[in-house]
Amino acid sequence: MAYRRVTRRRLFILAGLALALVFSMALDVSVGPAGLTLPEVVRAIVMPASVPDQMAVVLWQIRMPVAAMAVVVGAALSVAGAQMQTILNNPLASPFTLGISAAASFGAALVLAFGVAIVPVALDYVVPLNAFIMAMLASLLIHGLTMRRGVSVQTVVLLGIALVFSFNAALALVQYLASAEALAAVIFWTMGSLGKASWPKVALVCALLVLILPIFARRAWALTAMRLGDDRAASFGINVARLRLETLLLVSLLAAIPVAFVGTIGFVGLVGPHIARLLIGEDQRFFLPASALSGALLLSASSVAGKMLLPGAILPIGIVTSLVGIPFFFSLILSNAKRPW
Amino acid sequence: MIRILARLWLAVMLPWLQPTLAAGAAEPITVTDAAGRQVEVQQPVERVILGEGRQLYILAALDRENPFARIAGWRNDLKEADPETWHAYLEKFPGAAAIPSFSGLEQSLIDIETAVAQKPQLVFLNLETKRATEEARYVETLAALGIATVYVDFRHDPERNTEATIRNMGRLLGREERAEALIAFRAEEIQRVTDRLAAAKPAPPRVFIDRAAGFYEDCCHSFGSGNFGALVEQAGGMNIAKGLIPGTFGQINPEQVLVADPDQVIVTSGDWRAYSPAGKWVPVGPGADQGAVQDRLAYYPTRPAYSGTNAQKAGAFHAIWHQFYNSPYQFIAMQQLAKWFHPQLFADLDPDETFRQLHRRFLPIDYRPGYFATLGGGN
Amino acid sequence: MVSLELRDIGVRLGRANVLSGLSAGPFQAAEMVAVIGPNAAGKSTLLRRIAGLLAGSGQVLAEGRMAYMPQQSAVGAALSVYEAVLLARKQGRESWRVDDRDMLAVDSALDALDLAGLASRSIGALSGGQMQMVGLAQALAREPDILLLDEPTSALDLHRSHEVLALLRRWCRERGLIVLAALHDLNQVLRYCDKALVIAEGSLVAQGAVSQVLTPDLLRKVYRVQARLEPCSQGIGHLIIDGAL
Repeated sequence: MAYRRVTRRRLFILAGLALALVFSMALDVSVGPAGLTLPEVVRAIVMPASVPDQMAVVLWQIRMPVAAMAVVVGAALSVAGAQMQTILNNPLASPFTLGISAAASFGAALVLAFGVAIVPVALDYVVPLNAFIMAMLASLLIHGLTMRRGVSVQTVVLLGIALVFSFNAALALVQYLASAEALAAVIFWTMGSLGKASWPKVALVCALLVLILPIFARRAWALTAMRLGDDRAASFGINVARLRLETLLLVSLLAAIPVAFVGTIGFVGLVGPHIARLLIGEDQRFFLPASALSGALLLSASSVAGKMLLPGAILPIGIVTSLVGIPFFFSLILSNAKRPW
Repeated sequence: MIRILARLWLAVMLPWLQPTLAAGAAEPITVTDAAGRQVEVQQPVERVILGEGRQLYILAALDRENPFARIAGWRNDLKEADPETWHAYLEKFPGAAAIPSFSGLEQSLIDIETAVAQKPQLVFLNLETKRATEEARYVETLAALGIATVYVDFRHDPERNTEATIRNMGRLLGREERAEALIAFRAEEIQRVTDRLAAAKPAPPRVFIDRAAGFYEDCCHSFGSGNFGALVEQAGGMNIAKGLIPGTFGQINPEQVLVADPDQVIVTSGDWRAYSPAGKWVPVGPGADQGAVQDRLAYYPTRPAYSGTNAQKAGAFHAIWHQFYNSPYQFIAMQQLAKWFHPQLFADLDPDETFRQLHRRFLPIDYRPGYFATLGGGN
Repeated sequence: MVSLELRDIGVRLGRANVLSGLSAGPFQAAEMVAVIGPNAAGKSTLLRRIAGLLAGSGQVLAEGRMAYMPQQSAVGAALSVYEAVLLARKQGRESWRVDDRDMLAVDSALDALDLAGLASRSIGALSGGQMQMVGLAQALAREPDILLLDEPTSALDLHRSHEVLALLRRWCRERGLIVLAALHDLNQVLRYCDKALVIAEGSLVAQGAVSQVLTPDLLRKVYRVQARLEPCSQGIGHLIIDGAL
């Protein structure tokens, strides 16, 4: 049965992606300036009490949170991008293009430059909280405008782009008014960094994925049908407007929280889904896990590459994801001329 | 008829000719500025524009009685970066508040309209603005109006340029004696460090500079080979970030810090309540509250990046006023750093006292200690 | 028991009454009904109203599962023909499992429409006519009792369109379906359909057996053409259009 064969092949591809991810994580945890050997790494992970304190700190407090963060953030951003592209029927949709990342940057800049906290909480989390609130405001704005009747998918996308420009302009204004130190801090934030990773943050993003993925899973068939066009999807009995709204809201959460924690990491939300699509097609039962795995793999590999390119220093991860993702993306596009879109 | 007309003409024109004649009497001065240009400046210089407010640090030593007498306009970076010092000056010279000011970063252009409207004879620009200024052709525009432009520098290449800058400013403002005194004082104080280091050649401790601590959420921002990085090296320390950070500013992997095992950690910080209310900054600066400083500094040994390092074991954490990175009084910071790195060698060196001397002998405001701190108290 | 009845159906879009006071049926199993009328008469709107995609006044009384096939639009997605049809079948289900029954339904729909050879082709690479057939397969794979089809043969060539209509009539009879199809070729209507609903300017002009409804008078009034209805040598009625009025 041809279809069973196709299904089996897809499961292999998923397994392959998962394996590659595990390998990348292992690499991420083993590579670093501390010069630990593989047996030392393994021992520090499995029996932390048996290794010197410093080694345990390097593994558990520095390397592993970063490796784990790369995986969960990469997965979250990629899934967000995948569903955005699905419900907006637009190959360029991503957390970037709807203005969510730009809004988050603006929120962070407000704190870094002026100490303006939207919610006056004197926590360690003031910057991420601000970033998150602005990101959610942006998405609620899109949400609200989308609810008006007669708003087409193209309008939503254009709205998102308008928000990107608006928030970028506001960000530029903040940068202009900021002091030299604040400016440097803002710029570093907008370049993204996994260095801010910590176990609580990893847990939060993980919890987010665990909560949201099953919701998407239950709507797998409906979401796939969205790719056939509004008419066709509606003809299947799908409440297209409602599905679009719900998905937008969930996707905003999925994008806003990681961005709030690690800054703007571009490209993963755009390229991850495309890689998944090229490998495995758009049946959401495969596309969803493949997007998550591709995004996680992309970010994890970037983390490793960043450490190897400039050992000792920290290269802003956004730069690395572009360097890693773009050539790969180009080669995929050019090798498959008859691809959809 | 013609003779009557000529005398009439002369009588009418004489008042106008007088100032020109008088001005012609004072010789214009030619200086070589920090950009290597030969600049001719008409004397006397009564009105200047400070392209950077912090040029006041030197100007106040030269025009001690009233540092603001000649300032026709300035950039407001002093007010933003060093508000405590600004308030100290403002208290003594309330008229300073009325001086027209403009904004902008180190490398950005001055507000030329304000500058021109104030009719100065001279504009002091710091070297960082050179590229932008040339592109905008401000020098030519100002020259056409008879306003001279002189580049100064006490930050970009302090070793080479600070003395020349002070000397130039002294000549241009007719304060050569004071300028020479300031130069001599600075050179002396620097030599107290460099001479002794050259003679004893002590082993440099490994130092990590925690840059702008409390401004960033993540670790570990530092300096490369410039700025504070260079200061540390001059003071007889070894900056562990030197080979790792390509430029002057950057970020190192916390693992790298751990591996490099610094002997001492220098935290550069300030009171950043306004910028980063939740940040872990250490409020060093003029008039700092030592109790608060110690409280905040106590957080730093707990950072994972310092876990198990020599610095953590010895509790060797120091805090220093971040704005020193931008100040001609950097040589005082160098003294303090040298004292931290080689306490026995510099047991008799008292940077606080040096700073106090600087204020007493040259500056119109009082010295307020609090620029440095060591974890556990004592400098 | 499969049945479909429309009572006083109306649809408002904005200010305009696109459909009003439309009552038809009840239609029983194994009936093939054509929905005909000039452009913008409201045929698509009627079908969408019956399918539940549009809200409006009146009642749609339907017994049995409905499947609606909208008019064609170009689609580009990384899905194969097989997946697209399977997708239609699995709508409304949450479970990811695809069992043998599902695959059987998909296979038979594809076979019936002679699409089996295209099963692994990406739908973005199909021609308009092929895509239309896939749309039909999607409707059939749901194994519905009531089929609502909006211009199912508009992009198909002569061979295909007759094949499809013959298939629809066969399934209609064999499986006891009700088929409501908007068609523009009146001769196909005459040949394959039992009843006709004639819609013009949003209201029902005539309904009943095809041969009784399609008279030259009606054609003149509704379509504004001069036409004759004459039986061919096989005895089946044919419309000969002499010209526009």
